[in-house]
Amino acid sequence: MVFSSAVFLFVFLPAVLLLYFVPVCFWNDKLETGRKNLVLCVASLLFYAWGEPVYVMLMLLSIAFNFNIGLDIGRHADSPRKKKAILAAAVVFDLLILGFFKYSNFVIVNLNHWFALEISPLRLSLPVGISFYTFQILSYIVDVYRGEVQPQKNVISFAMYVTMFPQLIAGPIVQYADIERQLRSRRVTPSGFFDGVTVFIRGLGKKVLFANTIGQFYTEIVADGVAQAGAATAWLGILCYTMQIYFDFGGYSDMAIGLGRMFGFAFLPNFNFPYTAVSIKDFWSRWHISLSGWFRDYVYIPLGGNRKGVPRTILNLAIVWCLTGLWHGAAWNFVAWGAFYGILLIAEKYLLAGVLVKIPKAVRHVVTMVIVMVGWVFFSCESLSDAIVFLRSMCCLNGNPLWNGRSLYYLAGCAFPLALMSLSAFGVYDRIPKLRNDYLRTAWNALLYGGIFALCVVYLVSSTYNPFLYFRF
Amino acid sequence: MKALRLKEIVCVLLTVVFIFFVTRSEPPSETSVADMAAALLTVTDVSALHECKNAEFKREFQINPNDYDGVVYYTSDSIMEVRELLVIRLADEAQGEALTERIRGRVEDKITLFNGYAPEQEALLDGYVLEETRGFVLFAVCDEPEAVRRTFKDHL
Repeated sequence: MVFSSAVFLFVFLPAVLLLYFVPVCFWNDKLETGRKNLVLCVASLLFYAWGEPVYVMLMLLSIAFNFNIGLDIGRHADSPRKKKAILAAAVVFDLLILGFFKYSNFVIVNLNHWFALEISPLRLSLPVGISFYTFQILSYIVDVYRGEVQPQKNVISFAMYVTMFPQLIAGPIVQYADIERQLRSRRVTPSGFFDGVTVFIRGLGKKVLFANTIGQFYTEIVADGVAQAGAATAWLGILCYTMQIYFDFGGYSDMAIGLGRMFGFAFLPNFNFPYTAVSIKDFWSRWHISLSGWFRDYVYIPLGGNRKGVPRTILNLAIVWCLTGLWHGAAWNFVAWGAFYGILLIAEKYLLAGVLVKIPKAVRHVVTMVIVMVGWVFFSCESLSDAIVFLRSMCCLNGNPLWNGRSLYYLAGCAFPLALMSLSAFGVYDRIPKLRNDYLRTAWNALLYGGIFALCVVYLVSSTYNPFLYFRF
Repeated sequence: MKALRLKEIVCVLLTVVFIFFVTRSEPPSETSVADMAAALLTVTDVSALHECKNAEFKREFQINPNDYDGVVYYTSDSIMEVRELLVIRLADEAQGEALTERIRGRVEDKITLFNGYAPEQEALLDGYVLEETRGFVLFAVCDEPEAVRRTFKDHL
C-alpha cells in the first residue's frame, strides 16, 4: 500500500486513526500507550502485508530475533567479550538476510559474467522496505551494545519501532535513540495533530501533483530513446528526473513525518532544501539526512572517521560512499553513483577547500546542481552502459544536434511545471510571510491544504501514473 | 553461534526454512518475449490490429517500456475496437503487481466507457485475460481467451 492511494487515504488511515484515538484504557496512561502501540503495530503489519503477504513473515522473524538479541546484550552488559560476540552474530545475521534478498542475484550475475559460469539467478523479489527496517534494527542493536539505550523489554513496542507504517517502506530511517522515550509515552495535542495533517498533505501534494506530473515527462523522454535525443532533450530529461526524485522521495518523507506527528511521534527531517546546496558536502547534509546520519554514526565513525590521518580518512570515505551506492541498489550504476560522490567529497575536502570559498555562492550553486544532475543519470538508468549512453547524449557525443524540434516540444510542455517546482525546491514558498492573525492564518491553511488535498484526490482518481521511486530500495 | 540462546537459534532456523520455501518456487521462464508472442499469435486473430512501437505503448499505458525486458503490444486505431494483446517480460518480478494493477484499472475504465451502449465490446472486455507468472505478464482482450491463456501457460 502506498500513501498516495485511495485505499490508504479513505479506508486504512481513517480506520487506524479511529482505533488509535478512541480511548479504551483512559484511566491508566501506561496501559493506554501500550494499547496505542498495539494498534499501530497491528496496523503496520497489515499495511505491510497488503503488498507483501509473504515477507511479513520474514519481518516477524527478524523482530523476534533482534528483540531477544537486545535483551541478551543487556543481560551481558558487564561481559564485553560475550556482548561483542552477540552483537557480531546479530549484525552478521541481519546483513546476511539483507544481502541475500538484495544482492544475491547481483553476485550471481557477476560471477557468471567474470568466470563464464551458468548459475541460475534466484527467483527472489526484494522485500519492500528491507533496507530501511534492517538499518533501524542495526541502529537499535548497536546502541544497546554501546550502552546508549536500554534494551526494549516490551516486544510490542520493539515491533512497533521496526514496523511503524509511516516510515516502514521508505524511511526516514529512525534511530532507536531518537524515539525511545516516545515509545513509552507520547502526547498528541490538537495543534500537533493538525500540524501533522498539513505536513502530510504537503507531502502528498509534492508526490502526486509535482513528482507524478514531471515524472511523466521524464518517462516520455526516455521512452523516445535518449541515444537518439539532442543534448538539450537529454538535459531536460535529467532535469525532470532531478525534480521527480526530490518531490517523490521528499514528498514521501513529508508524508511519513506528518503521519508520525499525527500519532504523536517526532521524526527528524529527512530533507532540507537540498537543491539550494552550494557544495556537494552541503548537498549531502540536506539530502536523505537520515541515511547520511546512519552511515556516519554506524560506519564512518566506527571505521575511525577522520581521526586516523588523511589516507585512512580517504579510505573511510571511499568505503562509506561505495556502501551508500550499494545500499540504493544491487547494480554497478549505483556503485558508480556512490563512488562518484565519494570522489567529489574527497576532492572537496582535500583539494578544493581553499578554492571553493573564493568562488561566488551563485556559481557554486550552479556547479553543484550540474554535478547533482549528472549524478542522477547514474541513479536513474538501469545499468552503467545506459548511464554512459545518457551522458554521451548530454555531452553532444552521440552525433545528434544540440537542439531539435523534440527539445522544443518537451520544453513547451514542462517549462511551467518545472518553474513551479523550482520555486518549491528552492524554498521560495516557505519564505512567504505568514499571516499574523491566528484566525485568518487557520482559515487560509484550511483553504490551502484542503485545496491541495482535493486536487490530489482528483489526480489520483483520474490518473493511472503513480509510481514511487524509492520503493525499490 | 555459541553466543546465542535457544530462542535466537530457533529464529535463525525458521528464517532459513522460510528462505528455502521462498526460493523453492518456479524460476522465471526462459522463453523470450518474441517467442511467447509468436505462440500466442497462432491461437488468436490479430489481423485487425497492428503491432505498436514503444512510444505508442507508453502513451496507452503510461509505462516506460524500457523498464522491462521485453514488450509486445498489438492494438487497433479504431476507438470501437477493444481487442488487444500485450505480453511483457518483466525485468524484475517485483514489477508485476503494479503493472497488473494498472492494466486492471485500465480495463475497468474501458468497461465503464462501453457500459450500456456497446454490449459486444463490453462482453469482450469482461472476458479479458490477465496473467502474471514466472516473469511474464499477459493481457488479452480477444475472442479466444481460454486458448490464449492455455497457450501462454504452455509456453512459459
